[in-house]
Amino acid sequence: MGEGKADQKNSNRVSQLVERTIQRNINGASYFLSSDPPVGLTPYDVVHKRGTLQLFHYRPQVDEVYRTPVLIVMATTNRSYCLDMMPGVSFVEFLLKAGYDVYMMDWSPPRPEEKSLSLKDYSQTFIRECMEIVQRETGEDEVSLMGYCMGGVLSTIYTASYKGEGVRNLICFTTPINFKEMGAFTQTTDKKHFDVDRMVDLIGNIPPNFVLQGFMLTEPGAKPAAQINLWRNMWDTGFVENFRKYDRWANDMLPLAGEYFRDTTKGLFWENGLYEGTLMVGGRNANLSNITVPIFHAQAEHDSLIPPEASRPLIEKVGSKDKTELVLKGGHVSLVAGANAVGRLWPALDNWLSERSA
Amino acid sequence: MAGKKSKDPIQKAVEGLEERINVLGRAVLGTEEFGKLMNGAVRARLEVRKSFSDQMAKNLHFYNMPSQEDVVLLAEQCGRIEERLVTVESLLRKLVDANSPSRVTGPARTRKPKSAAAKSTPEPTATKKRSSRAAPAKKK
Repeated sequence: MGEGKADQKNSNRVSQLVERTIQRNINGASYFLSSDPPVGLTPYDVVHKRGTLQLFHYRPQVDEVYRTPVLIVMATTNRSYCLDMMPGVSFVEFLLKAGYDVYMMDWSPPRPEEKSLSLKDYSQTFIRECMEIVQRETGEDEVSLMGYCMGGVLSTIYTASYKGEGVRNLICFTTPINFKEMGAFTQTTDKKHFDVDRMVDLIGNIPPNFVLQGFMLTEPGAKPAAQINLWRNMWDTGFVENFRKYDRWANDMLPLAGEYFRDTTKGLFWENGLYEGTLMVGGRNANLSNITVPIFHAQAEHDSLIPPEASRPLIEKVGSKDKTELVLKGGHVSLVAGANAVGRLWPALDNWLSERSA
Repeated sequence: MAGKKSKDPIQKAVEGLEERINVLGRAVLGTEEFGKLMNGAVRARLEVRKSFSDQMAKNLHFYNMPSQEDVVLLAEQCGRIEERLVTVESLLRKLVDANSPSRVTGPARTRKPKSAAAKSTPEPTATKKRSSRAAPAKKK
């Protein structure tokens, strides 16, 4: 009886092994031969385009939306599909279904002649331009400004330097404020040995592999571990598909405009201007105490890219009375995409924002 | 990735390896010496790139062909024209908006938060599409 059971168990194991080996070969071949998986599938219209900037308006998916539109400012290193990975696990789709009118500022690689775009262009000119378009299109005076990572920094600088003009709510995800706590980034951009002027003067726009190397320095073990996990789970079609989508996110970096890189290195990393309250952009002081609009900030407990020490001061330093901080388990990416985001961040944000959007 | 708890021993080993590499990597990469070394390498690479592109520009000039710098200059001029067009476009739009009734379209902007909706009787939403909105009073 016992022997029979053991035989059955062994036979099941062998058949599982064979099955997985076949599936591993099929998925492996498809991994190397097929093109990148489709992402960013939520339907949208491009309502404005200017050089590196594109403004998307996602088509509403409900018959009745909240009065205040949402303008998402994407991080300057990433494309907007990061927040719209696939149906069912798309932050944009979630917002649309929850009844928000969603606009997105998306970036394409800056052209060589756009090397002169500065922090002022990104954090003031572009955001102001898009806000005016959203206001005109929706007939609303105020917009909820939402930013992820460096998009959060840009939104924060805008709101602080314009003292919340036209902003009803400010929503930030894992937004660095104290740049002295940025770990490997702080070390590699240290002015003692990093000559940002020479670099920008020599090459203009900063190539994406430089940015990518910086990201990899913060978590050097992540890449090899991810490759091992991919190999082990190659038989699982769902795992491979998800891996490819998130891998694309992690590796599809955008170049940075030269002057913008110079400004952020000097103003944010060297002078720590946003934290110290001394940052001047376009002749305006981006002091966090100028922010008095309702603010929501979500951080990830295990974020190696933007450590909590770097992002925590946002809530501490703003002048708003209505402020909410949400610290979730997980990392930089899983905060906004993945099971943690779907189950915790998105509903919490919806509860907060819906009360402030009607 | 490393934060995930797993019972699979291989998975545990991979996570342990990742953690050890991260700790070791951060200890090495976070030092001033590494920063100096890395920036030295970047600087050297940039110098090589610069001298290569200078040489290439000389060659292109010899063959009477535009260099990348010339193309960038042309593109910058196009960019300036594009910027002026954007300004003209936005001015025209303002003029048109000032002379015409609201062109705002799309779903009704009357959705209420869940807490408020629960208190009041829900209204049917299927018939709420409209071509122009009765937006709330403007502050301007």
